[in-house]
Amino acid sequence: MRKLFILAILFAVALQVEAQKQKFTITGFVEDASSGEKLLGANVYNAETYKGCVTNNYGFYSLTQSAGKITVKYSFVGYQQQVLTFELTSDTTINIELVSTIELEEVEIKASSINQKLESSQMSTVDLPMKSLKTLPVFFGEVDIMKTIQLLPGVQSGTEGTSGLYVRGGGPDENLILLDGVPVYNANHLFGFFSVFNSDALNSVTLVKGGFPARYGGRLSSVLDIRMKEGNSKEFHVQGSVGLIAAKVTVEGPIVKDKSSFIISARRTYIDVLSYPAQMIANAKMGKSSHFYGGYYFYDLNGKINWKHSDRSRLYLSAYLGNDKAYANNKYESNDYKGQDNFKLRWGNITTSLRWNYVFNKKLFANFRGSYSRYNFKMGESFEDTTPSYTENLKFEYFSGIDDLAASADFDFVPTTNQYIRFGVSNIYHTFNPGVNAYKFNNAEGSETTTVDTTFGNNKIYANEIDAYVEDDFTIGSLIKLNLGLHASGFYVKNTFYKSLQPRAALRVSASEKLSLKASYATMAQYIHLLSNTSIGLPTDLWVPVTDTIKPMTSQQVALGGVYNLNDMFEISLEGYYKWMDDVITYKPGASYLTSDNNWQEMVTIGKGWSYGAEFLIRKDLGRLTGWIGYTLSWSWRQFDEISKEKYPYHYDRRHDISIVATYKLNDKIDFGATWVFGTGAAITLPYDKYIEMDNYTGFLGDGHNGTVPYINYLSNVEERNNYRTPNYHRLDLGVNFHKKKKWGERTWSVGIYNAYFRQNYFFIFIDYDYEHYTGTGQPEKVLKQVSLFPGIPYVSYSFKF
Amino acid sequence: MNRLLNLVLAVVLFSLFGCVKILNDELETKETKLVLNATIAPDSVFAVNLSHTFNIFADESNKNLPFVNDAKVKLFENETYVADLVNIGYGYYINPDYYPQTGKEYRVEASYKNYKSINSTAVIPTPVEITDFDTTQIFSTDPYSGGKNIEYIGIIKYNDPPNIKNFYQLSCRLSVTDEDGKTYWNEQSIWSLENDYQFFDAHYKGTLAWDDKYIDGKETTIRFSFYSIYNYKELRVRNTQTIHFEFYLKSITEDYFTYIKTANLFWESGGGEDPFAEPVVIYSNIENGYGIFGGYASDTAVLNITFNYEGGVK
Repeated sequence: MRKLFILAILFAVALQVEAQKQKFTITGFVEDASSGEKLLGANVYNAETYKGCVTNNYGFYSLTQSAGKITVKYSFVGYQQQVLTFELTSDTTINIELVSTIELEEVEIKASSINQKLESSQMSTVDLPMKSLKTLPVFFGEVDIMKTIQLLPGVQSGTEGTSGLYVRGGGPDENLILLDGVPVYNANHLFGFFSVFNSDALNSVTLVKGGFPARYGGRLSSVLDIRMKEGNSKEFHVQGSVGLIAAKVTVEGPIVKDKSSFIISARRTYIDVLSYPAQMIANAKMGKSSHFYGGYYFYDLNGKINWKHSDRSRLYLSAYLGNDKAYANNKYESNDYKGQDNFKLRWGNITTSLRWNYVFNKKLFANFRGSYSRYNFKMGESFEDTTPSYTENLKFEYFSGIDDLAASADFDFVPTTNQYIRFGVSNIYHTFNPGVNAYKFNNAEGSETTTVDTTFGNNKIYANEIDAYVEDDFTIGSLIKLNLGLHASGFYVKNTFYKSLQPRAALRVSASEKLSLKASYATMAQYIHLLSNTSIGLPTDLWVPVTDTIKPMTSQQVALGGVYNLNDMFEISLEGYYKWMDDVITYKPGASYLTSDNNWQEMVTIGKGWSYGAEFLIRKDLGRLTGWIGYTLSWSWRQFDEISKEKYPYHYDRRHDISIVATYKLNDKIDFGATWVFGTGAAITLPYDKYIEMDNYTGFLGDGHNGTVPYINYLSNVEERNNYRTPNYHRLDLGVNFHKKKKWGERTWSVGIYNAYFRQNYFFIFIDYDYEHYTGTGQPEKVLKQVSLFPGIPYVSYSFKF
Repeated sequence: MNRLLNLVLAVVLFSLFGCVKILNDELETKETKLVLNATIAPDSVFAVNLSHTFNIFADESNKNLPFVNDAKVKLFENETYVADLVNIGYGYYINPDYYPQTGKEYRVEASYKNYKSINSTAVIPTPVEITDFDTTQIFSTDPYSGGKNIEYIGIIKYNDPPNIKNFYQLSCRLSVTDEDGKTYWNEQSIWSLENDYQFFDAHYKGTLAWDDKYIDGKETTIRFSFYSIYNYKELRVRNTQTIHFEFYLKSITEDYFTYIKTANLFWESGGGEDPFAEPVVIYSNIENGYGIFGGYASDTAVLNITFNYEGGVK
C-alpha cells in the first residue's frame, strides 16, 4: 500500500513537470480590501478553462498558466469578485484585495464556495460562516463557535449547554483543536458552558471530520483548524460587546500601514462582581461572626502581531491566555476563636506561536513555526483555626497539566495548476503532569508542635512526538482529482517508542458541472488520552500519554459521498462513513472520579469502537435568508473485554440528529436568527431492578435459616452497559439583532432566548428518594430524577464597532 | 440602575437553578427473574436461597422481602437426581441429610410459577492445606478516637497447586463463651497490609480474595491484620475471657471468585449510588436468572487469646 502511494506521487510529479513547458506562474496573496486581512480558501482561477487554485491557510496562492492573454478571476464568498485580464509573459506577482459585499449595495454574487466544494478532493469538511455567526441566537449573549459547530451534521454536543464535540462517534479527546496551528487542550470555560474562543478575534474556522489530509495528525476523529485575525493593516478599529455575564473588546490596527498590524482582544465575565452586593448584604446581617465571599470568573486575551518584511517574507507572533477561577473564602469569629477556610479552583491555557512565512520562489511557499502551549489545573484548600491554646493550619493543593514545546516546518509546492504538494515535519516535546498533591499541616498546642509538609502523586512524564507528512493533490484529466498522502508519526515515552504510518487518500470525480462524487480513506493515530468519566468538561480531566501498557489509539475511516450545486444557491451534500477505532480507553467498572488518586493506568481498560452513519446537509450562504439543514443518522459502539464481551452503544450514540439553522436579513437595521435542534437521547447505564446479595461468610443469609428475619443487602442489577436512553433532546433558540449606524460607528442590540419553548432536556439522571411521597411501609419512594438546566434563558447584549 | 441590577440578578439566579423532574414512567418494566444464592461446602448441609428480582424503585422494607418459598428446587449430583430441597422459610431450601463432596459436580434447578426456570452447576474445589500459621500482636492508635487497639498481624502459608487455576478466599470467625457456657459466634473482619494491597483482587466484606496469577505452583505467604476487641480501654470493664478465632483458607470456585470481585467493585464504588462511578455488572452463573451458585472447601487455622481484666493478654 505504501509503495503504491509513493509510486503514484512520483508518477504524478513526473507528468506535471513534463507538462509545464512554456508556462508562467502568477503568485500573491488575497486580502480583504478594508482590513488587509488574508482570505483563506479564496478561489483563483482561469476564467476560460476554469482551472485554478485556492489560497492556502496564509492567503497565498500560486497559479501556473500558459503564456499569452489570460483572464483570472478572484472570488471568495461574501466578497465582490475581481477579474483581471492581462498578457502573461513572465512569472508575475499579483496581490489582490477583495471588497466585502456587506459594504456594497448591488452585487452579483457567484456561488464560488459551492464550486470550490465541487472542485476540491477534500470531503467531510465544513467551513464555518464567520460572517453569519453573530446573527445566530446565542447562549447568555456570548457568541460561541463551538456551539455553532455542534449544529453541523456529524457533530454532536455533550450534555445540555456544554461545548464538547463528539464527531462521528469519537470522544471529546479525539479532536485536534488548533489555534493558529497550536493545539489547545482544554477548550472550555465555566465547566464547558462556554468555549475559550473569542469570536471577535477569529478569522476562519474549519472542521474536518474525515478524509483527513496527510498534513493533519495526532487525533482520531476531527481537526478543528481555527485561525486568528491578523489585525487591520490599514486603519484602527475597535469593537466590543456587553452581555449578561461577560464583556469583551477588540482593538486592531496598523503599526506601520500595509506593513505591520496588530490585534488584541480581551473578554471577562462578571458574575463575581454582580454577586458582591448580595454577599455584602448577607455578611452585614451576619455581623462579625461570619463572613463569606465567593465567586467565579473567566477571562481570556488574544493577541497577534504581524510584520510584512517583503512580498516574500512575513512574521507572525500570536498568543492566547485564558483562565478560569472559582473561589470561596469563609471567615468566622467568636470571643476566643478565629477561623477561616479558603477554596480555590483555577485552570487555563496559554498558547504562543511565532510563525515565519517565506515564499522561496513562485512555486514554493513555506511556513516555519515555533510554539509553546500549556494547560494547567490547580485546586487549593486551606483551613486555619486559632484559639488562645492552640493554632492549626492545613493547606492542600492539587496540580495537573500538560506543557508542549513544538517546532514545525510546512511547505506548499505548486509545480503546476493541476498539482499541489504539501510536505512538512514537526516535533512536540510534551511534559505531562498527571496530578501532584501538596499537603501542609501545622498544629501548635502548648509546647507541642506537629508539622507535616509533604508532596505525593504521579511523577511528571516527558514524551517526544514527531510527525512528517507528504501530500499530493492532483488532477487526472478533467474529471478526476486525487489527494494522496502519507503521515508518519512516532512517540517516545519512558523508553518505549511507538510509530505509525498512516496512508490517506481522497478522490473526487466530477459527474457533471453541478455534481461531484467523492470518496476517502484515512488512518489516524493518537498518542495521548483524556481521562474523563463525566460528560461535563470538568477542568480536572487529565491528559495522559500512552505508556508501555496503554497503547496508542488508532482509527480507520472510509467515506463516500457527493456534493451538488443547486441553482448556484444551495450546497447539498450527502456522505456515508464507517470508522473503526482500536485501543480506545475507558474507565474500568467501578472506577470513580472520586477515587481518581489511584494510578490512572490501573483504572482504565482498552477496547474497540465502531461508528457508521450518513450525513445530509443543505446549506445556503448567500442572500437574505441563509443557513442550513443538517441530518445525521448514525450508530456508535464500544466493546471492552473487562466490561462486556458484547458491543454496547457508546454514550454518545445518537440515532437521529437534526439541526436547522436560519438567519434572515430583513434590512440593514434588523436581522433574525433561529436554530432548532433534535437529537436522540444519550445512552446511559441504569439499574432496572435489584436482588438480594449473597452473604459471603456462611453461604446463608444472616440468621434467616434460623427463623429470624435476615439482614439483607441489595445489589442494583445492571444487565448491560448503556441500557437506557435518556429522553430525546430538542431545543429552539431565537434571536434578533438591531443595528444602527452612529456618528462614531455602529452599534447592535441583540436580544433573544435560548431554549425558547422551555424544554426540560436531560443534563443528569440519577436514582434518588422522593421525600414528598412515601410507601405503605413509611419509606420514602425511590424515583428516577432528571436534572435539567437552562429552561429558557433570555439574553440581551450590546455591541459596538468603530 | 437598581432595576437593571435586579433584572440581571434574577436572570442569573434563574439560570443557575435547574429543574428536577421525575421520570419513572420512562423506565420500562423488566421481566422479573429468579435469584439463587448458595455456596456449598463439604462441612455444611446442602442449602440454597431463592428469591426474585424486583423493581429498582420497590420498597426495601422487611414487609416486602422478595423470598420465594413455594418453588420446586431439585438437586443433581453428577447429573443424577438426588432430591428435592425442602423449604424452611425466608427462601431457604435445604437437604438436611446431604453434605456435598469435593470434586463432584452439583446442579440445582429451580422452577416457580410462570418465572423462567433457572439452573446452575458447581464443582467444589480441592482444599489447600495451611502449612504454617502465626500471629504477632501490635498496638495501634485509632486515628479518630485516639484509643489504643490491639491489632494482630497474621501469617498463613500454603502451597499453590501448580498448572491449574486456583482461587482463594480468607475469612475469619470468632467465638466468645459467656459465664453460662453459651457460645456466641461472630464474623470478624480481616484486612490486607498496605504493601500487599494490590496482591488481592477483592477486599470483600472483611474477607480477602485472590487468584494464583502471581503465585502459580509456589509456596505462598498471606499476611493480613485483624483486631480482637475494638478498643483496648474497654478491656478494663470486662472480665477475663478467651476469644476463639478460626481462620478459613477457602479454595473457591472461579464463578464465586468472579462474583466476589464484581460485588466488591460494586460496593467499593458506592453501591450504585456514586454518580461519578462507572457502573458494575455483577457476575452471575445462574442461567435465566441472577445470583451465584458457588462452592468452596477450606482448611482452618485456630487461635485462642485470653484477656484479663488488667488490660493485658495472657
